Amino acid sequence: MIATKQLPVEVLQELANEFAAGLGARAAVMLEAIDEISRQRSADAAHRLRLTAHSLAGTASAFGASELVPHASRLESLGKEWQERNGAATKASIVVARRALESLTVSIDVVIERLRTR
Amino acid sequence: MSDPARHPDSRPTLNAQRSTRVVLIEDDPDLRRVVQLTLQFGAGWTVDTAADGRAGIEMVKRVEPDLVLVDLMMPGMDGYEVCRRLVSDATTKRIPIVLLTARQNLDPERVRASGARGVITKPFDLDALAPAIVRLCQEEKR
Repeated sequence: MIATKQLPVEVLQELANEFAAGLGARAAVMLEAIDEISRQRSADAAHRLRLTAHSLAGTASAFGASELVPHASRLESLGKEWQERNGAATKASIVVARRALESLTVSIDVVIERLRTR
Repeated sequence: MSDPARHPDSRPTLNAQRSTRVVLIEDDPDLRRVVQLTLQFGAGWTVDTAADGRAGIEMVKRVEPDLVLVDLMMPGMDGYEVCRRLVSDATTKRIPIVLLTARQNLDPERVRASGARGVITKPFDLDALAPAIVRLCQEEKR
């Protein structure tokens, strides 16, 4: 749950529900970016992956979902690396990104379950 | 003498005459909302929000806030560029700016050159956010 004593419980629950509801879309944006880069060089896709992962890494802890942070940070680093290579990615790094996204997705399911059962 | 950084009800403030008014520029909708509501409920501040740098700068010019809180890494215009534009505009250059960032290794020289009063690193303690912002702004005044 969100780490603050300053908000009413019903507001906290609403915020947590909104965060949980948006997690799937965040993962979908990252998957699409990785898929695009696996097909062709794309600095835009690398930038999208980097920004989406960065945003999640910076936000997750505020919602008590800190287990998402290492996976999101890993994806952010890969997005940065690919962006610096003008959107080019090695096959090995794409495998690493897919694994990180799989781990993130598993953690997202756990977080959604936890936030919804509060 | 009373501490100008605190209201009689002991809530942190940047404006002794009225509710502290903040413009929060943050692209992440979930974080934007939780920070907005925490500052509104917890500190009694008035918080206007913008999802990107361009809209944020327009809002700052319109509402003339006591403080601008801006995320460093955003699509389009980043936080440094928002700072540069606000600091170089005669109508907004006196408004303090605090950067929000998830980056751990910021170049302190670049932060100083941006004109920002300071940096708050994510993840931050939401309950300590308003006092931390006030402290950064007061430190700079001394």
